[in-house]
Amino acid sequence: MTEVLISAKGLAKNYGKKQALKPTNLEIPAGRIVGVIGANGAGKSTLLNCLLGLSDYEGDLQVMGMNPLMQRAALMEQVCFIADVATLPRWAKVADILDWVAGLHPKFDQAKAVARLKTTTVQLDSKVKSLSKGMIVQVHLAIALAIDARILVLDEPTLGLDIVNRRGFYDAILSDFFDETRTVIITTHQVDEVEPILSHAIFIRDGAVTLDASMDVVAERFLAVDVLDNQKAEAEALRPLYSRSLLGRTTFVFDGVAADHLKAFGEPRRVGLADLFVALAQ
Amino acid sequence: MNKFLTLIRRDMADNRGALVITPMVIAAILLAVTLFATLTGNARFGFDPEDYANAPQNRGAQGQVVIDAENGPATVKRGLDGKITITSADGRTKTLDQTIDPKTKAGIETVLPLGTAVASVLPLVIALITILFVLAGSLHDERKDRTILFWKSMPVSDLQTTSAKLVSIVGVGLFFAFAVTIVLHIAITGLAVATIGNVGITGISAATVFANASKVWTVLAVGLLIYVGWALPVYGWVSMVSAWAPKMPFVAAFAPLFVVPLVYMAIAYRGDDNDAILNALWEPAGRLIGEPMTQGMSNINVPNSENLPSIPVAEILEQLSSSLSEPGFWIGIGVAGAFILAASEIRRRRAL
Repeated sequence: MTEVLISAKGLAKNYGKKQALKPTNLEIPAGRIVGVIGANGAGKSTLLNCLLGLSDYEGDLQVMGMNPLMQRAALMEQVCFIADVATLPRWAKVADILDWVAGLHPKFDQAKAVARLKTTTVQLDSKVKSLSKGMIVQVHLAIALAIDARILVLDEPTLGLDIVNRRGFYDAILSDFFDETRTVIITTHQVDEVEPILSHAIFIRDGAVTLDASMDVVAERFLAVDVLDNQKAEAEALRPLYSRSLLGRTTFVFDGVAADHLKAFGEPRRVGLADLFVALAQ
Repeated sequence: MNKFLTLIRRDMADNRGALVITPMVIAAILLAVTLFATLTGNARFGFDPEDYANAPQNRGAQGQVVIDAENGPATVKRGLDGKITITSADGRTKTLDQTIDPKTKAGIETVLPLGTAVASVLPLVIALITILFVLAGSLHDERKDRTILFWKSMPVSDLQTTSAKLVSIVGVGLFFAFAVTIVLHIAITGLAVATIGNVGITGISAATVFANASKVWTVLAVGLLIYVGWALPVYGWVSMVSAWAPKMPFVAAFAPLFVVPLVYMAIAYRGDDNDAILNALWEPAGRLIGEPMTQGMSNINVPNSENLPSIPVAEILEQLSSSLSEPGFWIGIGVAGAFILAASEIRRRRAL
């Protein structure tokens, strides 16, 4: 049986009268790459902050069997996270940061981080403020990948990066970190870029989880098909989740309708996460 | 322990400008000014260009001044060798050394390190003020620049972080400034001793001067430790406000300490110096200026049969230590602990 790394029951977070995260149940086992997808202010970062012990919450939450809020220090020996590109201290030198992490984190392999940075253009004696965004991400990535953690949490880690750096970032995560004993949780706006590497998707809208499914389930459950105008009535009878008319064709997205039923309209195809997110938001 | 030391190293690097560079720059400026004054002022070493210009004519130094002495005007001159002579109204000339009796010289050996200590203490005084600003920003600035998200990804508890910031800023920061002050004191005292020798005063023992200086350092070190103990609740309060304040943490921390008593004075004070509420409201500010530990200091009775100046180390230390037996000191330590725990708890529950 696969080990469950994260378990939440009725997890909720309020900011005053605003409910940033509505009561949520989650189970995330080892060996998954989970995409947490939602619009700005939907509650993605709130969820991650709760998982990481960065803010208080209501409900039951166990990460690696620990209470994140009360046992964050112990938890961070097993969990590594990159919040975004701007959280490294700008006043510090790269070498100093590596020294401090080595002094603070028992599972940090400084030599590994240095070896990785030597393959980049980052100079160890550079101050963070003198580095480009891409270089800062390289430093943060080198630190994260040199920590022997079970869970890696990435909150918009490639925000502001160009396509080359974004792709290199995710390639490194896959090749140097991920295996069946570890889990990666990613929030990002660039859904299309992470979709190929995800094994699981969680959609959040207005603080509520609207989808929590593996990519296999998503592929089986949600199908899209382009329908001619003369068949629209028949397609609408199957109660599509969403429809979109463009260039003389109407695309319907269905939830739980068998592919055989849809073949009467055209060739059913898998729904991309971005399209599915829009469909579920309607 | 390794983690705690790493946190202190990190915080010292973060605040290097305020805690390390500032005291060193102040000390360097003071030393440069002292050196400049020593070389060019009335106590110069004889390097004045005018002296050199007059040397071939063997006219002696022109650093000549007429003073009003008890028996009429006297002329004070410096020779090319730097030695000072005093010619009285009746024409008799003495070296400066001949005008100073051994008892006075013993007094100089005591007073000199005290005087130079006053001149050298500025880095420490500035540090006492600087740390209040640094401490007020310590837990606020990491939220402001979002680095808290990086530091919280490390397996370090909020209590360790909060405590390390307090120890690095107040402990290491202040005692580094103290060390700079001592080095500056040694340098300025050394210059003063050299100058005294240069103007021709003999019998001033550098060893005795520095032995007396070491007494000043002892008093200063113990006084600083006890001061920190008295001021600790204020430092704890500032840490807590830093963890909480959405903006302007320094104002948020210190406005209540000064505005509240002033408002009370404006509204309710009737001129009673024993007003318990007013005294309680002013207590934090009083602790910051060291008021509780200096009470009774003026009553120190120095046994001195020869009527010579002295540094009553034992009596001062006894007086300072006596403040440790006051309940207020230990209550303050407890309150400081509560504030630090509160700061840690606030940091735990809010990431940004």
